[in-house]
Amino acid sequence: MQGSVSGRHASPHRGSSVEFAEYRKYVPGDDLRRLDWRAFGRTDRYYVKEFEADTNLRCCVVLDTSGSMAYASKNQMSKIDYGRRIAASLAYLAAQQGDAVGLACVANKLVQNIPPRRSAAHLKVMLDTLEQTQPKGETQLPAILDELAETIRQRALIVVISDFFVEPALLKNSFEHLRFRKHDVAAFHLLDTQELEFSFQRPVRFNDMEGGTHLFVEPSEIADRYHRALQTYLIDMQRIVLESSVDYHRVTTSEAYEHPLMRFLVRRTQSRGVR
Amino acid sequence: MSFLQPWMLIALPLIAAPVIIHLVNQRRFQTVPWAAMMFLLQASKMSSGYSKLRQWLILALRTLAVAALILFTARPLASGLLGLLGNRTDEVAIVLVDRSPSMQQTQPGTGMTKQQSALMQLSSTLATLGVKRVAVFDSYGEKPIELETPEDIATNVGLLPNGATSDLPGLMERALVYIKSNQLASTDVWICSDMRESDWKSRDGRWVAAREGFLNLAQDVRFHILDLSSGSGDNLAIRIVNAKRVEEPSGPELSISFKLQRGSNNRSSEKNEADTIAASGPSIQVPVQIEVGSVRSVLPVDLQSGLAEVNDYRIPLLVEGPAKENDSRESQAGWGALRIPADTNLADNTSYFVFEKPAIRRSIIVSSNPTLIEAIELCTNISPEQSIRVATETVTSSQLDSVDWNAISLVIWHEQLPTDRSLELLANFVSSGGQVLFLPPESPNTTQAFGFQWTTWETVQPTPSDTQPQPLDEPTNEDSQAALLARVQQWRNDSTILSNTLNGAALPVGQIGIKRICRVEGNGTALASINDTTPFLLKMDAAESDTSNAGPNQGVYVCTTTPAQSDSTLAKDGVVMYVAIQRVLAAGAERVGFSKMRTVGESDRKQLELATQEVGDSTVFSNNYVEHTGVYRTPDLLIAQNRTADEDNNAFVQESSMAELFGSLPWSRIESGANANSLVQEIWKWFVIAMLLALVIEAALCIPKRRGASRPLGLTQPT
Repeated sequence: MQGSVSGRHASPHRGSSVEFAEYRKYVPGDDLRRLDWRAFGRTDRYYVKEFEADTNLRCCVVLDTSGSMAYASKNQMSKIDYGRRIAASLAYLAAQQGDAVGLACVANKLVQNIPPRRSAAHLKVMLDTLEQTQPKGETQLPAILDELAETIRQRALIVVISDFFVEPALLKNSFEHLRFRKHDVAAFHLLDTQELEFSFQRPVRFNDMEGGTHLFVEPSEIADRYHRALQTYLIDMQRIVLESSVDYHRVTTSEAYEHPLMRFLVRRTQSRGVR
Repeated sequence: MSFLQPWMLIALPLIAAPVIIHLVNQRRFQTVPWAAMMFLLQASKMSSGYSKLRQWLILALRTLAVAALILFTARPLASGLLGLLGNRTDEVAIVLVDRSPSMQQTQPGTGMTKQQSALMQLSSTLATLGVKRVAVFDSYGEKPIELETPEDIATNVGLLPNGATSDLPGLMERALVYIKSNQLASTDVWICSDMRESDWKSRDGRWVAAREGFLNLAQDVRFHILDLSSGSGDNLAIRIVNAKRVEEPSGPELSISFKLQRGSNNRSSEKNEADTIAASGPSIQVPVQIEVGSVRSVLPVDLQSGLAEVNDYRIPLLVEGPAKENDSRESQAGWGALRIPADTNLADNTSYFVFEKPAIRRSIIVSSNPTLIEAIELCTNISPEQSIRVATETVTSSQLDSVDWNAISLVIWHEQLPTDRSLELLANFVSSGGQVLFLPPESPNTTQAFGFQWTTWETVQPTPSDTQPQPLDEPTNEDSQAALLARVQQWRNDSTILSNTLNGAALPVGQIGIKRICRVEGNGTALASINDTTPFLLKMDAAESDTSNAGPNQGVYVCTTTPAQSDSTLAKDGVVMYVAIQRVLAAGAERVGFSKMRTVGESDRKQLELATQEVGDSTVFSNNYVEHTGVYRTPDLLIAQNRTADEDNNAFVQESSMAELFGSLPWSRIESGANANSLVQEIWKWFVIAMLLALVIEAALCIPKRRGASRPLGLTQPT
C-alpha cells in the first residue's frame, strides 16, 4: 500500500522498519549505513540489507444505493442494510488503525462522495451518511466506477458493496479500469436468498425496484429458466473477478455480516497486506 | 353414443372447472417488488413455444380428465343405437320376432342364422340396458312369450325357427293391445326382421290402424328395427308348384312341377339391375333329390340366370296292381319331398308335396229352369283336363237332404234363397269349404241368407261407352241388339274367379252384355260391376254374412243376372262363365280331396295337433305342427305344408315405405352386424382409461425439471 505517512500497511517502497525484506548487492551511491557488515565478514562481499517500508491505507468504500439494494425477503435484512454494516465496519477498522477512509454512495449517479480522511471526526461523518442514505433509482455502477477510477488519484483500496445487477461485461471494464489505475479492488456481492432460490409458488407480479416496469409470471413456469440465467450470470461474475484480480466475496444476506468481513480480512492478512 | 345414467351429464359443465380454476388462480397473484429483474426478463425471453404448449396441454388434459370422469359415471354405451333409445331404459321391452324361413339364412363367419344372431344381440343388448322383463311376440299365439330375463330370449324354445311367413302388421296390433292391457309406461318395441316385404306387408291396411293406435297412446312408445337384411346372396330355393297323380295306360305316374331359383337374401341386390344379374350367378347344375315315400331319385337341373323351372316331370308310381274306383283315398294318396344340397339357408332347401288320384268334381244345380240348367251344365260338365272327372246333378231345394254333401264341390242356386233346413245344409257346406254361386230367381222374395237378399229386377240401360262398333257388312238384327246392351265396365282381375289366364291375358268380361239385373241388398265385395252402383258379380264377405256361415274357405258368390238369353249374353259369350264356374269348382274341389297342399299357417292348429308327422323336422312338437313345413297325416287328410310363395320373393320393404308405415312414430333402424355380440356395449372402461391417461400425462407435464443441474451456485465462493 502506498501511503503518504508511515502506517501499519506494507508499502511497495523499501524503507526503514523492523520488517526485513531482502539482501541486495551494494552499488555505488547506496547509503553506507545500510551495508551489512556481518554479511561482509562472512562472505567477503558487500550486501545492503533492505527492510519493508510501512505506510498508511487509503480506503474508499463504494456502496451501491440503487433501488435494487432495498430488496429483502421475509425475515431477512435488506441488502442496503447489510451493505451499510459492512461499510461501517470497514470504516471503523480503518479509522482505528489510522487509515484514511472515504465513502461513495452510488445509484444512477454518484449520490454521495466523501473523500478518504484519517480524522476521527471523519468516521462520524461517514457513519451519518451511511445511516441517511436511502436506496433509490437505477444502477449506473460501471460508469461511476469508471468515474471514481479517474478521480481517485492516489492508489487506494476500493471496496465495492453492491448486488451487481448490471451486465458483467460492463463491470469487467470498470474493474479493469480501476486495476489499471493501480487500485486494489475488493467486491462484496450481496444477494438475497430468495433471489437465489426463486421459490415463489403462486403467480406473481414482479415490480422492478429500479424502474416502473413489471412482469407477470407463473413462477413454476419460469423458475427453471430464471435459475439458468442466474447461473450464467454468476459464472460470468466469477470469470470477470478472476481476470480482473478483484478480491470477490459473494454474500447472502441471510449470513451474519461478520463472516464475509472476517473472510475478507483474513484473506488480506494472508496476502500480507495487513498486520 | 348414449348413456345409461344420462342424468349424470348434468355435471358436464364441471369440465370448465380446470379452466376456471386456472383463471381464478391467475387473478389471485401477489405483487412483489423485485430486484433481480434482469434474470426474470431473460427468463421470460427464453420462454419457448413448447412451454406455452405444455401449459395448454396441461389445461386440456385436466379438462379431459374431468370430462372422462363425468362420462364414465354416466355409463356410456357404444354404437349409435342407443341414440334411438334417447337415454331411456324400461323395465319391460317388447320384441317382435320374424321367424320366417328367410331369417334362417346363415350369417357369414358366425355359423348362426340371422334369427339366432338377432336374438343373441338383442338378449345382450336388453340385459345391458337393464331391462327386467321381455314380452316376445311371434306370428303364432295370441299371447306373447313373457320372459323373466332378457337372457332367455336367445334360449327360449318357443322362438325356434318356423316355416311361416311373419305378419308384422298383426304383431304390431298385438303389441298395441298388450301395451294397453298391461298399462305399460314408456316402452321400447324391438323388431327383429330381415325386412322382407312378404313379412312386413307394407300395403296392409292394419298398419294404418296400428300406427294410429300407437299415436293415440298416452305412453311414449318407440320402435327399434333390427335390420338383418344384409347377408350373403348365395342361396338356392326350391318350391313345388304342382304335384298330381296321373293315370296312364302304363300305370299311375306322379307329375311334378317345381321351381328352382337363386334367392337374393341381400338387400343390396335390389338396388340395381347389375346387382340382380350378379346375384343370379353363373349357370350351374343342381342335383334335385326327389323323394316319393321311401323312394329317392336325383334329377340334375340346369340353373341358368338364377332360375330353373321343371314342368310335368313324370315319375312312375309303384303300386300293387291298377287303381280301382273303389280303392280308398288313402291308398291312392302319397307324399314326397324335393331337396337340394345345403347352402346358406336350409329352410328353403326342401319342399313337400302330397298327391292322390283326383277326386270327381261334383256340382249340383238347384233350379227348375231347364234353359238355364242346360247352359250351366255345359260349364260344369266339361272337364278342363282329361285326368279330372266332373259330374253334375240337378236338384230342387226340397231334394237337398238326399244329396251326398261330402262329395259336392259346387252348388249353383237358382231358386228363392234357402231357408230353414236348406239354409242349414248349405251353411254347413260353405263352412266346410264348399262354394256356392247364387243366381237371381225370376220372382225373388224377401228371404235373406248369407248376408244378402234379392230385391227387384231392373233393366240396365247402356251408356254411350257401352256401344259396340257396328260390323262393316250388313248388320244382323242380333248384332244391332248386342250393340245396345250394357257391358261390364270394371272387374277385379286379382280375384280368383275373374283373374287373368295363365298366359296373362284378361278374361273377356267386358264383352258380356247385360240386359237386366236383380238388385241385391247386403254387403259383399263387387268383383265385377256394370257401373258404380250396379254390381254384376259379388263375393259375400264372411265377416258380414251370417256368422254361422263364417269359415276359413268362405266361398259365396252372387251373380246379379242369369245366363238366360233374356237377361245376359253369359251363355252366348260362354268363355267367362265357363272359366269362372270351373275356377269356383276347382276351389270347391279342395274340400273333397284327401291330400292337401297348404302353406304354413293355413291349417287349423287343433286339426294338426292330432296329426302324425310323415316327414319334416322331427324336433317339432305336435302342437306346433301348424307352424312348420312337412307332411302331416290326420285321420281325414294328408297335408303337405310349405313356406309361402312370398318367401321366395326377394322384395324388401323400401325406405320410403318404412317412413310411411311408422309415420310420426319414433322409430329407427339398426343395421345388425353379423359379428357383433351385442348392439350396444358399455364403454365406461375406455373413459376410465382416458381419464387415467390424461392424469398421468398431466402429472408428467407438471413434474418440475430437475433443478440440480440448473440451480445457481449459491454461496460457492470463487477460487
